[in-house]
Formats: sequence, structure tokens, C-alpha cells
Amino acid sequence: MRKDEENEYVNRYLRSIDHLLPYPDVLKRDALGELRQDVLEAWEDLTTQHSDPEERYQALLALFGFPEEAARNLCQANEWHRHRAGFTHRMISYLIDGILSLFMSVIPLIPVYMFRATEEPHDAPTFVLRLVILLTFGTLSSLAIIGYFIFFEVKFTTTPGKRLLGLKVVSEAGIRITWQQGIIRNFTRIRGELLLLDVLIGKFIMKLDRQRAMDKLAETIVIKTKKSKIVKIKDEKENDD
Amino acid sequence: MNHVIILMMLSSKSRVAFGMVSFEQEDVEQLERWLVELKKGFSKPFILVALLKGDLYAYKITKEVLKISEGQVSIAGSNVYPMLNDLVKQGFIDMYIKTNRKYYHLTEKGRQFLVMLQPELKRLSELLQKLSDHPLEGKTDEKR
Repeated sequence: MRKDEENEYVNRYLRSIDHLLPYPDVLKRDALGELRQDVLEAWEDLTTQHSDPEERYQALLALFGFPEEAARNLCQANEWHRHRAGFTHRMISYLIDGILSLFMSVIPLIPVYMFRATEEPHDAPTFVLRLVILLTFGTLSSLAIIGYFIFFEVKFTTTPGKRLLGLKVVSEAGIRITWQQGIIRNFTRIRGELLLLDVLIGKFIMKLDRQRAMDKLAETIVIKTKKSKIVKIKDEKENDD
Repeated sequence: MNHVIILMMLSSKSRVAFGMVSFEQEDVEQLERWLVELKKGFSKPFILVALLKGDLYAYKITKEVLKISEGQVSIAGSNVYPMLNDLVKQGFIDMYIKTNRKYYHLTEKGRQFLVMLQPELKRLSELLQKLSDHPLEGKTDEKR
């Protein structure tokens, strides 16, 4: 096996770690550079013990940890996720995302409107059909709202609204969230009342630090990574230390 | 053969009651986890001791710790970074960049801390000695 093919193992490992850390390159450069040098040296050390690159890669994983563990350790060491987003930032981003997700939720309702607009006789089968269509597409419409949040938060670690405010959703350890975490933390968005309850329980019953109850359950946090692009908010006390 | 079947049928609790204690895989793993947790506490002092030898970079520190502890304390590669960061924050070590690489250096405060730590570690080792020498006879599996 050629040298560059072997190095592909190391590059793949480092790329996975990089991907798990949703922070600006300028922040990560030093830490990832240090890790790269250490990993390359370890890779060379392991050459004497393991001739097969696949075996060597497994030994490397045992030494440095799986990408998730390594990413968590880097984040813990550098505290990139220390600035939690406050209420004002989250509220404004929610309003922006609320409007955008509303557009998404309207799309599944178009067939309902079209069916309703046709001149159909008011008999029982038509009524049942209308009810089925309404329930199906109504549910899809609600799911589109949470789908919007889940998709953007998992794929891009931020939604358009959060992006404008410089916010990101990460795990409590500071790494990219999983689909499971995205679903759990956004579940209560299906109904406004549930979301309000989620916020209130987190704030007053569980006494959480800038987390909703579902955030705690999903082990996620919303952090502020850069200055807001659209609004100048007198930052909440925790954000500008 | 019958003995084997009977032995297999006995629950682990009853085997203990009959004095036929055997360690199961789960117990061994539990013991390993305990030891890892116990040894983790020694990682930072070992890092400081490793740096007594001279300035080192992260990976070299993990190798040095393994060498000094005769293979007993192994800091997984990426675990060393948060530890080093903590030690920098506490002022026990500092970091500088040489030939494009981050090197860590033991500060005077770190050296003083090791001086303070050593008698405490002696006391701790006496305590561990007491624990390891303690007779292990006693009542088990009785209703309280």
C-alpha cells in the first residue's frame, strides 16, 4: 500500500473530527494542527507494531479515541462552546424561523385547499375523503414545522434565523448534534403551548442554565459563536465575558 | 458431568453462599472500570512529573507518562488536551510554540505544587496500603 493511501486513514480520521466541530476554521486551526501532528507521529510509531494499515487504524482509534471522543476532548480543552445563547437572541431567531417554517407548513396544505375548492357533492364518502386528506396533510403541515428545525440544526448546526443571530445548536459536549438529538429537542415545536411549557419547565422547575427541558433531555445547548448580523442586542450578562 | 450441570444451574448468589465464588466477565470489567477511574486521578501529577524532564509536546507527554508509570497510567491521546488546558489555566504549566509545534513547560508554581503534593501522596499510599492489607473475612449475603 502506498504512503498516500496510508495517510488517507489519518486524513479520514481528522476530517471526521473536523466535521464534528461546527466552529469557524480560525478557532479550530491551532487545536486541529496540534492533533494532526500528534496523530501523524502516533501513526508512525504504530507502524512497527502493525504492518496492516487497517489494524494500525484500529490501534490509532484505541489510542486517540473515536472521532466523537476526540472532538469532545478538543472542544472541552478549548471551550469553544462556553457562550450559551440568552433568551433575547433565541427569541428573535425563533420569530424569524417561525415565519420561515410557516411557509414550509403551508406547502402540504395546498392539496387540501385544492380539493376543498372543487365542486363536490356533499355526500358521506366525500366527507370521509375530505377528512382523511385534511388529517393527513394537516399532520404533514405540523411535521414540516419541526422538520424545518430538525433538518437545518442537524445538517448545518444552525437554522436561517439562528444563523442571522450567530447562534448554533451543539451537544452539551460541544459537538455536532445527531438526528436523534435533533428530533428530541424539537419535538415540542409541534404545538406552541408545548413549546411554552418546555421553556417554563426548563426555567422554573428544572432551573436549567439557558436550556429548555427538551434541550436537557437531548443533551443539547444553543451557543453564540459570533456577533449577530442583524440586530445589536445589549448582550445578556453571560455572553460577552 | 452432573456436577457441572448442577454448578451451572446455581445462581451466582447461591454460588457465593456455597463459597464457590467465581469472577464473571462483568465483574472483571467492573473492576477494570474502577481501576481506570482511580488511575485517572493520577494523570495530572504524572503530567507534571513528565515535564520535570524538560519541555514536551502533547503526544510525547502521554508516552512519557506511560513510561514513568511503567505502563500503569495510560492517557488516551486526545484526553491529554483538556488536562493540559486545565494545568495551563491553573498556572502549573505554560505553552509556547516551537518549530510549529505546541510545547508545554513546567512553571515554578507547578514545581512547588509537586513539592507540596509529594507528602500528601505518601499519606495516600499508606492509606491504600491499609486498604489492600485489610482482612477480607466478614459477613455477606445476610438479611440486614
